[in-house]
Amino acid sequence: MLNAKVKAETLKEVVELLHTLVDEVKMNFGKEGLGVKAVDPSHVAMIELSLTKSSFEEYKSSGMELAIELEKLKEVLKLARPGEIVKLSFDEDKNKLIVEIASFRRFIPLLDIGSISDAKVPSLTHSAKAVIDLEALRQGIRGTESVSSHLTIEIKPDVFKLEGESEQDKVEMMLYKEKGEVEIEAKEPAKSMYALDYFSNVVKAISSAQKVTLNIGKDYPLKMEFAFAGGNGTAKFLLAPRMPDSI
Amino acid sequence: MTEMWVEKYRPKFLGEIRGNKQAIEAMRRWAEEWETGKVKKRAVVLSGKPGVGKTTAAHALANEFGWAVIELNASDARNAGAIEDIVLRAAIHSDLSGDEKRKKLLILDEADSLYERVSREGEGPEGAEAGDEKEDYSDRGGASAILRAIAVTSNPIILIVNDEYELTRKGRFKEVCEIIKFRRVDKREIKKLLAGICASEKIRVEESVLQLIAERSDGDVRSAINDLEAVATGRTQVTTEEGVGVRDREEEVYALLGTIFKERNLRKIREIQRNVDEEPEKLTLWIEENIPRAYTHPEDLASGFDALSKADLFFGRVYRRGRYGLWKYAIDLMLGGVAVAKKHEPRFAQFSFPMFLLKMRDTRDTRERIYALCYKLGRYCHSSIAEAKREIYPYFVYIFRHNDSFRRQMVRKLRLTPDDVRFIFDYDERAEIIIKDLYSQKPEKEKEKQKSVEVGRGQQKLLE
Repeated sequence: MLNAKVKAETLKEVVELLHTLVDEVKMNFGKEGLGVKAVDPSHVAMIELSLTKSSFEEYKSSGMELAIELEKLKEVLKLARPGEIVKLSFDEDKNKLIVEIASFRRFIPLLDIGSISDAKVPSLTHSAKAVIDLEALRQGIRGTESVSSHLTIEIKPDVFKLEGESEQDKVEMMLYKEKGEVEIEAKEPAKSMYALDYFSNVVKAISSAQKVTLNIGKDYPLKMEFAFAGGNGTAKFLLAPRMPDSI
Repeated sequence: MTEMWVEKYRPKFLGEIRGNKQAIEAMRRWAEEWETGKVKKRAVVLSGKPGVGKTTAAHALANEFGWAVIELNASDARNAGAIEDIVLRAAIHSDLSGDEKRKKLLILDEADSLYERVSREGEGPEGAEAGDEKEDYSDRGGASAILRAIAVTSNPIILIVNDEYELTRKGRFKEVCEIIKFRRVDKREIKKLLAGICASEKIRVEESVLQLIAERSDGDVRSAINDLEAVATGRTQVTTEEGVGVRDREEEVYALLGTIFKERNLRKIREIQRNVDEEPEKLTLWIEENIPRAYTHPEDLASGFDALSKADLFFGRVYRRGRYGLWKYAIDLMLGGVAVAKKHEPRFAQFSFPMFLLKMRDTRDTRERIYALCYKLGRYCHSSIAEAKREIYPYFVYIFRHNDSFRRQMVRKLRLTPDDVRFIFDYDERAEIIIKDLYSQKPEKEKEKQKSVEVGRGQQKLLE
């Protein structure tokens, strides 16, 4: 049994975020809310999302896992106007997810649960953490994209730095703790290089967060955390670092 | 459902793998190179017949060295773009776990069929001459994407193939990969392995039965275990050899056909199809041949063929557009589509081998000869083989048969052999007389002329 009503933009954000990494996903409609984990095919990036019961207008589930093709969900959500409510229910006999927007309904056939592998979330310990405005991060990424396919993030106790470099061009962005541009917790300086494609797409897909927390280490996976859907949803994005060119 | 024995008894460590000790040692050495950071070749190719343990060895290696595994196989999106994205991305990134030293092993299973489309286009007789003709097709799609990934990777890559030549002729794989060959597993080893499984399953199976299964497996461990499971499941004792099937491809296909025509459950059919060692498109031929034998009602026949024709459409698109994602639809239509087409009870039928394949087999010699002739004609006329076959060959044959001076010129210019002439005359008796006449010229004169042909074909043309 599933009966969930949620604001279209909340669900849209979830779908957009997941779709940056995968085409098909297992959504776990638990008793207390929705949880989703997805890892990209090359195991380089992972997203973990959870929406508590309170982020829904109405939520009731007996606990189930549904495998969904994201493109289809995306299509139907395009029909919704901002603020409109989307109702999700599950037709057990026909094995379909029913998406209702006002008087419109779409029946989405579900995929075989076994066809999507489980994502295992690794346990990570990061040495440095920075909380920055999403807008600042977006600007930094957009600027870096124009010169390079990857960027370096560096966190020192007093400064947060983004850097991108190509053969001739170079960009950098510095945010200082003193000026209140960034919050930093770092015992020692940390620096890692990440590919931009996934990172950039995920950052673009975030729509309802103002601040994000970036955790890094020395040549270590990135963990970006943010709250969305009015603080009722939490998201974690993990990205493996680029290895240095030589082995 | 209980686990299949092949899965249940799949070795987790290299040391548990039967046979192929040398190959496994080579893999271990290669992995140790990665661990110490002195890598000579960043990728290895494991080549060998199905069921000898290539995939198992790759996974066992990862397990033993604590590497994460990323596996891509034929059913994953296989166009060059997807491969490039996934492989390249995985190659240059470290693992998500944050453990810097932990490598990610990239396993590309069925790497040789990444080029299905390419090898189809290059089809033709294997001649030295035809060889350079094929070159043009070689570096398209998946091969170059994989080679690029190998060039930059910071993670170990294993390519698994049934036929290494299929792979190595597609690019510089020999230079950049270490090639490790897996041989058929010795039947005594297989027998020991089967005995071990029987012991842990607590089933008493007669020595002679194991012997038979081991012999018939032809060095294919997977099929041997499957065969054992087939005869032993649900029993505590197997004493006679009855029920031990002869393992050959046709038998498997017949079993699949039987299931398709009888069942409606796609999952069941798919499971059987997975064990059939035959390309899916070839299967369409088998199904096509046998639909009329099983389905008798016109309605069933029509919808059965309809489903199959749609499958064929998808297969066409897979190769034409390189959209390997469409494969699964083609296969589902071919199996499930035909299976659910029946509304009436199917007839118990004796299945037969596809007529198309028989005809192709029978005409193989003829087709190859035509190909060889058209190759020569094409070169001479500066046209492609296909064009020569279509536009020139029919007239060439006609004129050759009827015009003596044309015949003489052509024999000289195309360097046709008496056998070629016989073929053009369709092995008519007349050919012998003409051959005698054609090849009775003084040998010296012949030589001279040949030389001048070599010197400059253009000049020769002007002179005449």
